[in-house]
Amino acid sequence: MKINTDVTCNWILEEDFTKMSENKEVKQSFLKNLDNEISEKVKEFENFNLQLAYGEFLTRGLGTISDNNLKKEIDLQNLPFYFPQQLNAKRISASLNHTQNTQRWIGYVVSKTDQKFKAKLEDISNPGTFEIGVFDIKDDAPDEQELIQVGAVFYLSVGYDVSRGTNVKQKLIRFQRLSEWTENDFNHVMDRADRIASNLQWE
Amino acid sequence: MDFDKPTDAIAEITVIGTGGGYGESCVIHLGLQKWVVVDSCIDPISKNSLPLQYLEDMGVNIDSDVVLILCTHWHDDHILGISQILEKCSQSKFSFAKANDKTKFLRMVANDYEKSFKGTTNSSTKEFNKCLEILEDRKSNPIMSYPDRILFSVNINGFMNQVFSLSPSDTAIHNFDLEISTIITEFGKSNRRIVPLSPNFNSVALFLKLGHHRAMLGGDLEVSTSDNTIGWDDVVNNSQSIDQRSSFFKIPHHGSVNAYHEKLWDKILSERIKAGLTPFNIGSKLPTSEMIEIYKNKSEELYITSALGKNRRPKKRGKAINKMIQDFKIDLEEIPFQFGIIRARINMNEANSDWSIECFGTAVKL
Repeated sequence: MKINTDVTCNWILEEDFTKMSENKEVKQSFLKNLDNEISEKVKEFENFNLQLAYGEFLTRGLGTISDNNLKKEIDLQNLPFYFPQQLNAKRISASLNHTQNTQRWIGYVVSKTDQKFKAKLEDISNPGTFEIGVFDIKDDAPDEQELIQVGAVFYLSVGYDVSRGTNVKQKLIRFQRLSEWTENDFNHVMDRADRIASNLQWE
Repeated sequence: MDFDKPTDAIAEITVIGTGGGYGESCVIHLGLQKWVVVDSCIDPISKNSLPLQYLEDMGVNIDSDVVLILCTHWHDDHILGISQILEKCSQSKFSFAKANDKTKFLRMVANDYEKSFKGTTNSSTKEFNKCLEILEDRKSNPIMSYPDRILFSVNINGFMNQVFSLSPSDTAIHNFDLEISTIITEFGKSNRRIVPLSPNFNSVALFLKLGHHRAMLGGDLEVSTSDNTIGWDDVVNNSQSIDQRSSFFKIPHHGSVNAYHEKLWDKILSERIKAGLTPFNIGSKLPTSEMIEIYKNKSEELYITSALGKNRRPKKRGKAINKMIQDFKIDLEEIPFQFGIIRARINMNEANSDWSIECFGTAVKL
């Protein structure tokens, strides 16, 4: 598996943290383990390869890559660029490949026509007021058309990708891809609903 | 803002607006320091519930004096922050629109709540779930709202001051039971949020008896063009609890044309009515100038929690980010936060007293 763009990795990481956001302990444990692993691994790498280590652990941490030849396949120009501060972001920004002035949103589709979709957006980089955005389906999300449905959640990122001293502007819309409900998920929903139904009477 | 608390004989209805995107709420003083909160809204920066902040600013004893919290309907623009209020108001009852099929309704809510672990869930469902959990912990059953239901009652100086729900109608409740299946089918998948698609006939409208005076809060209830057993038609034609004309009205659904019912204004509301509304200052803004003219003609005084903005504005960001957004031609409009309060007070013991209305923040008289 190859990491296609920096922004994609950013999205994958963000999506995973979002999933864990309801449980602080799990999130903290994840970060701690990841940082420990990276710290160990960094010792084996020169500065030039620092991002390679991060790229490997981030993708491995998410369980999306199991290829033993990962190091060979990752293109150094296409490595992840975003890491939370807990992961020693300073060291990353000092390396050869990184991004600057990144702005990220999470949004969902509120209406859709054949050409455009309208979405409500929440600013992840600078939380506060919400925004409404209108996007052209063909221009902005050509590969996501079948995922663009009312209610569908997506991530929008813009930023400068600094690659060996060259600045390249990047924009990406990435619709959330989640696995369907498992039997366990479904049972959990039913159990929760039935518990509340038995504990609360409608007066 | 500094707010003074009303005395025991003064009724109060306070309409809190945010411009539309962050919700609206009404706070009611029934007398004798008995308070009711209808819906909730938040400050998008602090995430604090604005009606809760208002009550705290006044020095109301939150723990004991808030007797009822009502969720007119669980859309994002009416429910954000409502669990904060319920959490703090430990003696309060909680009410929402009746659903006949309790289990199916709770399964829909639980299904959407499960998505919170995947980052997809609606704020409204999360809020509603938190409220259900609080009620479970307290072993406090929710009170269902339906036509002519007394939600709270208190005897003050020989007057029964009461809060009645006027809707949703039996048909609307039945239709919602059927709609739940569609919602689960359409939005049940793990990566989709529930987006309300149908007009709002499930919202709770309220009728208030306040000593000599009456008032009505319209929630988001709309008028159906095809079925007179739902929405405002049902209230106007069938309500048994409305015993005299209301002299204060919180106009429903941001003053939209779909929420305007001629007979309601002509037969049920006072000719000298004072009215307040909250705008929806996003995209196709509400109310329209035509509707504002109609409401001005129908009411003695008309207030709005914030004036409608004319221009689309992008959110303020650093130059580099703004340039990138422009370069990529990303079409963005910030949902403005416009915090406005319309406060109406009246002496309940005097039949000839009139509403005294004050505006705070961005609220203005039209």
